[in-house]
Amino acid sequence: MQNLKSKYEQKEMSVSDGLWDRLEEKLDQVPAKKKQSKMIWWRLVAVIILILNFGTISWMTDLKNKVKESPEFEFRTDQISSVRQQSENTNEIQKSVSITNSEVDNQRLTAKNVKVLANSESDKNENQNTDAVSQKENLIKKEEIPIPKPEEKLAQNETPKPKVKYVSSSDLLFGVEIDKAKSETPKSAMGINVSKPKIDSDFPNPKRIKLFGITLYDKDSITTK
Amino acid sequence: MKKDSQHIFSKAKKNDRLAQKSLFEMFSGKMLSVANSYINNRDDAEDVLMNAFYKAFTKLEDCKNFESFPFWLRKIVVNDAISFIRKNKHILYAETEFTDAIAEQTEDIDELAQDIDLDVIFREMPIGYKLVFNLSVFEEKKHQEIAEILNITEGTSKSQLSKAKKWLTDYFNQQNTIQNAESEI
Repeated sequence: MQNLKSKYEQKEMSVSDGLWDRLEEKLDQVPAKKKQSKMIWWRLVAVIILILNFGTISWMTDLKNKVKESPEFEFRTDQISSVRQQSENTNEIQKSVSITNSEVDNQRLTAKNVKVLANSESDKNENQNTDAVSQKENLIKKEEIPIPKPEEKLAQNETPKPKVKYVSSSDLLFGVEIDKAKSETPKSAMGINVSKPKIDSDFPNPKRIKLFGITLYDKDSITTK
Repeated sequence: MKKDSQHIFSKAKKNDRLAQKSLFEMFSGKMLSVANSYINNRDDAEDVLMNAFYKAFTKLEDCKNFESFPFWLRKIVVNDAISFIRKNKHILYAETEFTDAIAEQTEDIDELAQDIDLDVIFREMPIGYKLVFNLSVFEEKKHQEIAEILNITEGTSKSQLSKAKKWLTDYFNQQNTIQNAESEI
């Protein structure tokens, strides 16, 4: 077989004269075709880019018009404005509450002073002191009654929030505190022993204010009494 | 010489017509013979050769260096010749099981190799046998490769090769008997 293969490899044929010319003609046609095809591709790419640009521009303009026209977005803007108003209200409420708190603190201080005086005095003046304390309690109640109204507004505004879950735990804690208050002296029943930082810390959450606020506590204490 | 050939090859890669012409002149005679061994028609073989060179020159960047260029070009020529035959001629592969008995019968082909005229093979051998015979003997392809190229089974390739060898022995035995008879007369 090797002999046959070597014979085959040695074998050559003469090519006709015009074959190279034919091949050259064919080869000369190639670059022009390639250039044309490249140009067509570039044109296609340019057209696609233009179409995409126009499409995006038109889409953006449509979107803007839709945003302007659609009632959903109007509602949202209303919501935003209402939220802004609410935030302003809450700021006002916070300011008012801080003012009332300061007033309450002053009153508490005076109540404390009164108590100190009451402790220092003899048992004869106990009835008078209790009267004075009850009067001051009434004053505090009167002053603190308007506070819940804005707080309720805040709570109403923030009711859809899922933070309602926190109330249950604080409720439980509050129940424990009520039990403690019941077991404590009559001073605690007045609501004087409620710590200030707790009020400050719990204030931003309206539910907590309800729970740990003085008014509710007083109400409950009143009802429990 | 090698440097010159490499230089010509690198120029041909850059679409230099003179370099391409010199490559054509170097290999066209051999490649025409290869194409003709499959097609057995000079004009058709030239057409196939021209298309093969056209493909080679347009895709010359795929060929790494001058040393590999003849093998690469030959592969193109053979593939183009086979595809030409497929398009223009109906090939019938007689499916028979390849057995050891057939293989033994065709082993004595080597003894006749010196007397075989290649043109007789290209001219007289049935096309189905010739394709497998050429690919196996001259291109040194394995049966698996031949099966893939011709889209046939490996068994068919083996049986076609054995039949081709048997055909050759029978042909030359017949030629010898005719010659002997003529000499006796």
